[in-house]
Amino acid sequence: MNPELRRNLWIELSVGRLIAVPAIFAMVAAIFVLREPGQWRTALFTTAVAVFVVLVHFLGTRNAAESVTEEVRDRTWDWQRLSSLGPWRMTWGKLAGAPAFSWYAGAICIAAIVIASLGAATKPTGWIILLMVGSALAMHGSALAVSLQASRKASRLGHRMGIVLLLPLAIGSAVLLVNSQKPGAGAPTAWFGTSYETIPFAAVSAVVFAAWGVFGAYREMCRELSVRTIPWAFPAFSAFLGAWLAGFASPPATALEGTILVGLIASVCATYYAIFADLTTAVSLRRLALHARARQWRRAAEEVPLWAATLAVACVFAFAAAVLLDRKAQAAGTAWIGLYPVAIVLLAARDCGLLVFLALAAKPKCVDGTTLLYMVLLSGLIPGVLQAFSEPLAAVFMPLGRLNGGQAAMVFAAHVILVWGAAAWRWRHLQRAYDGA
Amino acid sequence: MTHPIARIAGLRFEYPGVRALHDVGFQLEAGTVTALVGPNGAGKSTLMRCLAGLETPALGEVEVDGIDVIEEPRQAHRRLGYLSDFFGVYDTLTVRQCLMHAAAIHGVEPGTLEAEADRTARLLGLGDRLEARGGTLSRGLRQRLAIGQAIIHNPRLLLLDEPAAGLDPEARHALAGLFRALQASGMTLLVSSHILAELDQYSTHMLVLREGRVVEQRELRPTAAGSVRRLSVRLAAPDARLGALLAAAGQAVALTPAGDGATFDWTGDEAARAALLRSLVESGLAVTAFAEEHENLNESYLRTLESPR
Repeated sequence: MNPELRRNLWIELSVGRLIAVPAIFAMVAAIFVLREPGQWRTALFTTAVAVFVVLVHFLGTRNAAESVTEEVRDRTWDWQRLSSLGPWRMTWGKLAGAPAFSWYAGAICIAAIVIASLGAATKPTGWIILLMVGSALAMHGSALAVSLQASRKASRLGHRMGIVLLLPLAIGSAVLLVNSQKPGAGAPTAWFGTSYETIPFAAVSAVVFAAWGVFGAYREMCRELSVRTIPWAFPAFSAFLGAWLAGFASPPATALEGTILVGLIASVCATYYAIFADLTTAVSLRRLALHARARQWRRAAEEVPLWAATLAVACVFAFAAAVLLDRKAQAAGTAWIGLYPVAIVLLAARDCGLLVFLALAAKPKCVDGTTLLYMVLLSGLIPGVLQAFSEPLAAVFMPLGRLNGGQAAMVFAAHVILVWGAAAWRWRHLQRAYDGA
Repeated sequence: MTHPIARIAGLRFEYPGVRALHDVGFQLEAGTVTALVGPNGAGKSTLMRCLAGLETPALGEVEVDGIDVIEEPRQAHRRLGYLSDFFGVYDTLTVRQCLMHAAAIHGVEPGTLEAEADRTARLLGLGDRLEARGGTLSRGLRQRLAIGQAIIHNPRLLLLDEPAAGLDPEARHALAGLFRALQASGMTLLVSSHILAELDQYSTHMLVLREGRVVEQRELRPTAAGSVRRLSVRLAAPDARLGALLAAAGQAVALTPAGDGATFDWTGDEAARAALLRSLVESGLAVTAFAEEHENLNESYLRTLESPR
């Protein structure tokens, strides 16, 4: 047996719990079933789905996330990192083990759903169960990945952002599951111009996202266990997310146009998430520089920050979007609109520069929080105040919506030069500090 | 003939704006116990963590038993054990479960986990506590359990960071005995501690770190043929011929004459040493003492620190 799974089972599954869960579930189900004896199937089905969502989606996700943060808090995580278990065994040991109690209760819920569905041929029970399990796994995997990222940082900002990003998935799954038995639940979903039944489509999507979630947890576990990886998975996920979301774009946007534009948005969002979730320090940047100087390209690539990788993907999408929008602009006679995507990517590049500038401080303190503060100041508060006096002056700080695409791109290019110039100045200062050490 | 069980070359580790380890390089010979000593902030714990593969250095190579720790940390962890200054004991698991888990994650055969847990618990005097939960143990017992977790897979190299911190004298004495037994079984130990008297009980080598640099690595009690030993001779009364007789022996160097004797480094073997004593006596010198001097770890360490940088 996987040692990490067994350790979690020792902790999670006591005899008392094993007996208590089915007993409590039976009593809760009895309350609802006895209230409407004629509708016992529906009552049992609803109760089982609701209990599953609460115990597996919410409590299980919390336990999966806590499986690492608890170890960091109890100072046992370094001990685990010393094990000879590979990252995959450690990942699935934690994913299956930490929420083991939730899955035990979930298995009882699934059994109840199957019983409630016997003879009710209209319900897509198999798809519903797949949706329940797939979305739960997606959430557990993502929560573990977010938790692993947070374990490397003193700041909890990235962790909180990750949880906030997981909430729509949790709430969406819960709403879909609770509504799955209501009339009209079979309404089709259009995706890339093809109609699919909603529950099967959601179930297959949930399984695909579960695969990404588990893979994300595995990749983060690799980093945590010092198994060397090149950061391609997160940018690949942002590109996938863009493509998946683009499927919901409605005409007149074509599939390609939707993929490019939504891909740009997804990769820029992923860049901002990585700014706060991933650890960027003077030490990691210097390791990158030292490996590059020694022409150890693979090792240098391993040190590339996640935000840099996703920003590179965003640049590709921005270029494609610029070409696409430029063609449309020419047809519509709208000048410079094609450079708006470039302006957006330059804005993200400026904010990455802010992070680097602050990370390279002699005594960096609360780099995440300070970066967020500067971003809010530069993009929101200062232009908001200046707007009352002079719109052109406000546009110097936030040109989006105030200037055309070309002008916005030029303003943000100036921001990039200033911020990255300041970061380069700090970098040189830091090199002198190390060389004099 | 010994061979290096750990090899570190050009190891550089940096914290923001500070270089903690400056291109450190050294080897640990198999079957030795090396005391890693140095002032606070010298980089001892950082060095240990790099050796254990818990930190990624900026530059350099770290090998344990021929395995590149940076490239293959999982493989290296089968060959090393590490006790950090924080124990890493699970409060909610029993002693048996803690030891079985430690054995399993370090690649011990699944069928022998329980037997290995029992054996290790007995070795550490925890045989009667196997069903006690980690959280209920005293500090000393938790320390023993943590050591058990670090050695249960019979690592080739054992890294111990302040292993005796917070232990009472009796427990420290027992710990010294355990480390000697582990060394006798062929294990190599690197022990960091501020309690030099304790290290002196079992260390064979000393590695001194200062400001992130290795300033000395040497054997504390030479045993190999041809190694240098410090000898002293004492006479009943001062005799001017002593210096000339020792010089004539040819293998006494770094001579420090005193009024009624001398201290010197001896490069010869046991037979030559016996011949020297015989020649001193036959020359009519009133020899009252002729013995090997042992510099303890504390003296060695202080001498190293006092030496010019």
